[in-house]
Amino acid sequence: MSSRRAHPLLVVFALLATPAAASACPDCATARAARASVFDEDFGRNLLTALAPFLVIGLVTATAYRSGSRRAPTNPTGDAR
Amino acid sequence: MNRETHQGPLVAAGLLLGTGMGGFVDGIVLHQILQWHNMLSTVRPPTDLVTMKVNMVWDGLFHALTWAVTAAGLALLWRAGKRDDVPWSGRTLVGSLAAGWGLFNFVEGLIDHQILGIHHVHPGDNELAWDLGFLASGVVLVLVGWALIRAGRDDRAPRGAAL
Repeated sequence: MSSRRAHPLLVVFALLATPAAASACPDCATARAARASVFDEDFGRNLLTALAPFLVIGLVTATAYRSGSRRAPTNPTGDAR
Repeated sequence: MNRETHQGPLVAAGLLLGTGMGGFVDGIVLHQILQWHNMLSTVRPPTDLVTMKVNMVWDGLFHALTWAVTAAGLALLWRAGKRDDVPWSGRTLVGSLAAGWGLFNFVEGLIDHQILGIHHVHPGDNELAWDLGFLASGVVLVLVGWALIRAGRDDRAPRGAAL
């Protein structure tokens, strides 16, 4: 086999190997312990904590939407209004 | 132009998109590439596989929220582009992006780092200095953005208008 053909084979091999490694622990003891720790008694507080900055930014954005600078129509004649 | 123009819709779109950009830089660069902190890394230090996975979940939720904010910003930008009373100003958009990024740094830094202390920018000896620097970067970005938005008030042409 030439060295030119070895590279694609290596890529295919790596692609075949990767999913096996990535899906090695979807429901093992470690994953179950992690899920239990995520959904523990602090879940609501942690969720609120994660949401809080986005809620504040949402309020600021809503205010900016309504109160952004408004400009009256320009006067084609240039006269003061 | 013979109607009142309204800068707000473009500013709002830019604020959300800037927030998204700032959030993704935080999440991708500081959480994942540099691994300086995770969402709950002060209250649940990622010292074993379980706590790492827990922090990964909360980082994922943070990224999901950031994605949602970015999507909302795109929707607002699309709607603003269809309105003929919204000036299509590069200065307004870039200023709003900067202000949104700065707003994210300031608000997230204030709530998560200073008030709740769930994580810090760079835990360790100079933790407070890093946190204050993050807040300061937010203030600077907001001020730069504010100046650009003010300059954009002079732009009056809607999207697609002849220059």
